[in-house]
Amino acid sequence: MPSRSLGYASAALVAAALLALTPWLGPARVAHAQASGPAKIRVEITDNGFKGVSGNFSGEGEGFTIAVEPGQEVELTFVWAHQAYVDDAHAFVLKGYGLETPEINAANREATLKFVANKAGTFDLKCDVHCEVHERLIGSLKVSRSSGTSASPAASAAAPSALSIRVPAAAELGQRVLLQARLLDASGEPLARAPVIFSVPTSFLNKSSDVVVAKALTDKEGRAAAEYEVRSAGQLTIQADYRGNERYAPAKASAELVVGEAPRQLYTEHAGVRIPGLNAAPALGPTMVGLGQVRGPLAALSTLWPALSGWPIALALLVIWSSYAAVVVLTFRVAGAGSVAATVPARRLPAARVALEPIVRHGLWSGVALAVAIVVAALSIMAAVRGFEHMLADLGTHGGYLALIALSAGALETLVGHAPFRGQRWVAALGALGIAVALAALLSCCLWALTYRLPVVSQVTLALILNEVPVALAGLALSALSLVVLLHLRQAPRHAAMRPEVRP
Amino acid sequence: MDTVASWGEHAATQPTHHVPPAWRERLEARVLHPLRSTGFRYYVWVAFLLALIGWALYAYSQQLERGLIVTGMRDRISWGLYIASFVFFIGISHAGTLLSAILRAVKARWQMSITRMAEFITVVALMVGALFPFLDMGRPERILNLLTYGRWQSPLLWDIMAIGTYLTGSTLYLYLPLIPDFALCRDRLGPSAPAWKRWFFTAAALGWQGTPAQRLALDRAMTVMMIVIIPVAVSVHTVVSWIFAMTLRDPLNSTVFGAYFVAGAIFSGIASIIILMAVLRRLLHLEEYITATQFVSLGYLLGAFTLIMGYFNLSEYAVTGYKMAEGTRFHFEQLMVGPFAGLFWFYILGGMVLPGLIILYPRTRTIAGIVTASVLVLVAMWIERYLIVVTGFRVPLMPYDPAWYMPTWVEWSILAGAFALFALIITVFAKLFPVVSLWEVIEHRGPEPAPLRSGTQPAPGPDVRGRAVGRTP
Repeated sequence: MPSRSLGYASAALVAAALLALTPWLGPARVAHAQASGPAKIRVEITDNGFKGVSGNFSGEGEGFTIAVEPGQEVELTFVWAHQAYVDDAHAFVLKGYGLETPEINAANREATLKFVANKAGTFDLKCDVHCEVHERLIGSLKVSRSSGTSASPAASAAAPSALSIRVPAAAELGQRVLLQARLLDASGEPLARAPVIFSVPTSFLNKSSDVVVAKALTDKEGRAAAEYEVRSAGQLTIQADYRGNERYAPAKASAELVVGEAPRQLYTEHAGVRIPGLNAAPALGPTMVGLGQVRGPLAALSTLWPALSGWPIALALLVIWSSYAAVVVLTFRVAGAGSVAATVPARRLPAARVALEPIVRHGLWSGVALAVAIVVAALSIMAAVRGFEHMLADLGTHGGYLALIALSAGALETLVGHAPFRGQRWVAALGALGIAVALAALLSCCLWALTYRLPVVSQVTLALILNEVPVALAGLALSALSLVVLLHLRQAPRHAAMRPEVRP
Repeated sequence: MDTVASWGEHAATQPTHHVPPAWRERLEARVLHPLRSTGFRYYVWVAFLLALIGWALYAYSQQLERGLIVTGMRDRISWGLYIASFVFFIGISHAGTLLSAILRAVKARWQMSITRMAEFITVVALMVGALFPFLDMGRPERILNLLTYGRWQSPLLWDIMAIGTYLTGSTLYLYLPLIPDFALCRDRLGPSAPAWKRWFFTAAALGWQGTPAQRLALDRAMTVMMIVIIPVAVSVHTVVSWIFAMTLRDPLNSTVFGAYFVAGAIFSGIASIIILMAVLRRLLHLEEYITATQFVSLGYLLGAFTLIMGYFNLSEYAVTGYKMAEGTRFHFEQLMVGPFAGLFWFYILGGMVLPGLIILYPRTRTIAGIVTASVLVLVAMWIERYLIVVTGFRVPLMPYDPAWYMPTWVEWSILAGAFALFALIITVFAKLFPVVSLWEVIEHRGPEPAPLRSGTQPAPGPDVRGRAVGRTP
């Protein structure tokens, strides 16, 4: 049967796919070609840290690097050779291979690690015993095909070249400086169109390397120049590096650049678009209006308020969670509507009366009481903190909010009070959203007043415009929408079957 | 007595569904059977899942005790299996939103019988997926710092808010359509059911009686959630993508990630629904109610999304490859010809090309073929998340050799435990809740119509109205 065959084929395909995904979804290891003969490296431990004696190595101290090829047998010998720190003892670990030497000291001066470099990559080599030169005993083992830092055979037969570098003696952090280098051959003739790389030694955690900061080609005078924006303070060593070719040997040069100010890094605090209130400080804030003392606990509260930052996110969350709240209310109405026995008059009523009747019947007085309570509470807080005169000014600027609250409170009452007309619950829910948003704006005003003690009416208005209008606009829109729908709503439902019927 | 015809405003405008009582009784018996009795295989399966979860807990205890050193993550590749799986699970949670909300909004009736399974997947996948950031933390107790010191500017905080909002909304959206079915269970299970079950169904049914007022309230609530959950789901997957796209890392610094992740979420979500449908259909003998129609319809969706995902991949790689910045070159090499080539090409060929061909070709567009394509898609999408995370972090930011990442037994064990937890919760849900939305299937779909023969008219059936979902008279 085709389906059975397909099933077997599909099972085989999946099994093959799973096999292909092994081993354990790790990346395929680099295939190792036959390595060259064993690498014998001898390293002395001096008062300055690592010092290579023989073998393929580069650098000294904490930049010490041993290079071997994949698959190569390695014999790494550490020789204790201190002059000053005669009491120092060391034991070295090679990360990645899990190898560790026994302790070497003045009495026991040598220890050897023998292993096969069967893992590619760069592995830390460090002293595992606290000692006087501990920070300088951090090196690395580099296992790669293009290992080797010594000059290539081709380059060793090339003619020598001379590179000189010129940099300013001093600079300021962030300043753009001109790095210049001149490349000449042994007879003093300039080498044209040769690439010169400018780099700066940089350390990050326990890794050190040269970071290329500029590249330039030499002109017919053998001069190469590039600009560099100084991004670190302190004493910097600028290196110029000519990598050589088949005719000329590599050459290096370095110079010191002193950058003022305490050692620190330049970094950009803000990236991309700056949106006041989202990833930038609000346009109106303490530094701009020269506000007074910020009260302690209330200042902490204000940092959470979305009006000061992230108001779009808070607004979106407010809308979504308000929808959830409306759904929860509707769900509980399922529980309470099991025995609905209300009858609905079938006669048609004027639209205005339809809109106002529930408010008049259910919501007017309680809605007004609710609004008055909110206003009194808010004004009391503002009066207590900022004084009676400022409270009166705030009352004038917040009159619109108070009207919103009164209308929305009536709609809220309708929602709670079993509105019998179809659709009015939805309208009331919209009004409830409006009251929530309007309350948010009102509380925002209170928090501004509490934390920043805004001194004059104009400042309050400016604060409202810049920080609270987005919130208030949402409340206005929702409440206005609910009013419009209420005013245009027909009383009679379209389908008689939708009416809650009287149950015997 | 309330009847099916009295449900919703559609009743007066659409003809009453012909619902044979025998069909309805068979449906109820089949769907409610798991709630009534439990077989030996169920306990074996649960024991197996618990064993896996137990092993995962042991692995996690090792991680808690010794730190993240027991994983393959290090300073350079600091995200790995956990975050890839987090994105994967959040992605498949889109299943419920797609089926329940989007298709319900466009009144696609064929999804009625599988909408409950899709909503299960959404909630469970979110619950399991949300665990992974905790697992990824070496010091999980510091999660509170995200809330106490969090900044609105942080994509991680957006992630927390979005996933929390989505989980709440999905739970509401799962619960609402369950209310009538809870009432059915309350009425049908009878005194033989354990007392706690009877109490649970009675409480969860919220006194449902099927009155018009209740139906109206429920319909309104479901409509609100149906509208709200769609943008919330889109925002969740977009925000999850932004924890990568808002960085300056070369392969992750992409403007297409938001749409790409949403499409990928729908893609993997469809595949997960198909697989769960096939499993539950087989185990619970629901062949009569989950037919080839559902599989083929979802298969077409899956096929369409292979094209969409192919387009996004083409756009992403063509645009960055044309410019080939330094980091991009490294990324292309490691992905297409380097150490991750096998995984990448399996994702492309096995996750998009092959499933598309299976669905395109009529002879393979069978239930078995579509399930096979779904398995391939699901595996490939997990691999895709893994590649995004690991290869993205592997591109060096400074002049040093690229690091290597290989998951350890701890990570694999915890991942296995997470999948086991996912399966366990689905298993428990299937034992507690009807896996098919009975009232919706009865009231909106009815039995599959018999195919017409040429030259004949279907004989009108008796005007039998199905009984209302609710208390039996």
